[in-house]
Amino acid sequence: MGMPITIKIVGLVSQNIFDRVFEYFESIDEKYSPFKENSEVSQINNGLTSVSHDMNIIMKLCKEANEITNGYFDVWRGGIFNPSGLVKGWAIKNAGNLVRNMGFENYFLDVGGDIEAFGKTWKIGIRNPFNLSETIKVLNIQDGAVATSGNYERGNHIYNPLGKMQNDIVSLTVIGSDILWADVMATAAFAMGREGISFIEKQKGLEGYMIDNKGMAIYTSGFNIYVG
Amino acid sequence: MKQIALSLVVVGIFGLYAFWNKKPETMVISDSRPKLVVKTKPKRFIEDEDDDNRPALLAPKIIKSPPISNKVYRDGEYLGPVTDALYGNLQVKAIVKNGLISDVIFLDYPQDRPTSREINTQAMPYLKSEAIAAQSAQVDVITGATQTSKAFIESLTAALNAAI
Repeated sequence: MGMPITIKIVGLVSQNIFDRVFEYFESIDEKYSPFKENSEVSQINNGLTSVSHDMNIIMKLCKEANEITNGYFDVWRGGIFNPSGLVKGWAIKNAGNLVRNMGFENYFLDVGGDIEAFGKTWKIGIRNPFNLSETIKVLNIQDGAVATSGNYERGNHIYNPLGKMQNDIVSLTVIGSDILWADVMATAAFAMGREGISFIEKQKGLEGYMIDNKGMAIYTSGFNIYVG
Repeated sequence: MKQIALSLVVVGIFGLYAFWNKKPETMVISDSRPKLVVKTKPKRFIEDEDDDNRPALLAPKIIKSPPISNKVYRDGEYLGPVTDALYGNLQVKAIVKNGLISDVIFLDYPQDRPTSREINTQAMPYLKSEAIAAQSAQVDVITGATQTSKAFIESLTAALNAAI
């Protein structure tokens, strides 16, 4: 997936455990990367119509994500299928299940700044988009997820499928119980521009923190519950 | 920012309205002093009621700050009564610091049915705002930017231009 992955598991953990989780992420990359010729995603873009069980699940989730975000989350761009924006959260969620099934309850998984944190209360910082060495918020997260979208990450990877991209929002962080949906909603809300944080406010179980290009943050009514 | 300022005004109005209508036995407070004194009755809620019989509490159309004197309130946390907001219950908690309302928290508001949800998300001043500031606390992991990029630099440039 071309992004840093950090895994922390509390307890007597053998190297084998970490290897299995990293192997899982590698298998996801092989199967779903639109940049790999033999991936299932590439094959679909080349006309494959019979898809695997997992791909079927992903496609259904993509459709659901498109509907609940009023079209702002869209994995079809110019006729090309690229579900990376959903697969990332889905894979983190599955990797979390893998860790728990191996008997570990205290862990976090961080894939490119999208985080699932379980067991103990983990302290998750929101990085200052204007000064990358600074943390501007510390969140206490237990059995939950945090995802941040912004155009400063990995280039301009978010676009607004419904119109011209607004550019006065720099970063939008979403807290939720499920990394898949926190990630999807952060992506969609970011694409909405200034309206994005209102969209997050309307979603039950989600909180958000949006930063504009003047260094002002607008955040949802329940966000401060998580601030420590 | 104007929007935020207006939102805060509306929050204040809701808070005042809730307390103005409160029954004494519903006060639950960390500060044991019983009364929250409001000198100006928020008549505006009645005056602003719309022709379409929309309840003024849900959607005050004209947003103006009622003339409230400073230093009217006693410091503490004040829980408003559960009030009927037509589509469901509404309850707020106000936090008063240095004699002024520093925050109003909505503990309950109608949100079950899609119609009432829509009405309230439009009427309810729910978002808050602040200038971002660096924190020194230790963290386990960080969400957000992992590297600079062209878009980030463009954004920063725009911010600096606006600051001139």
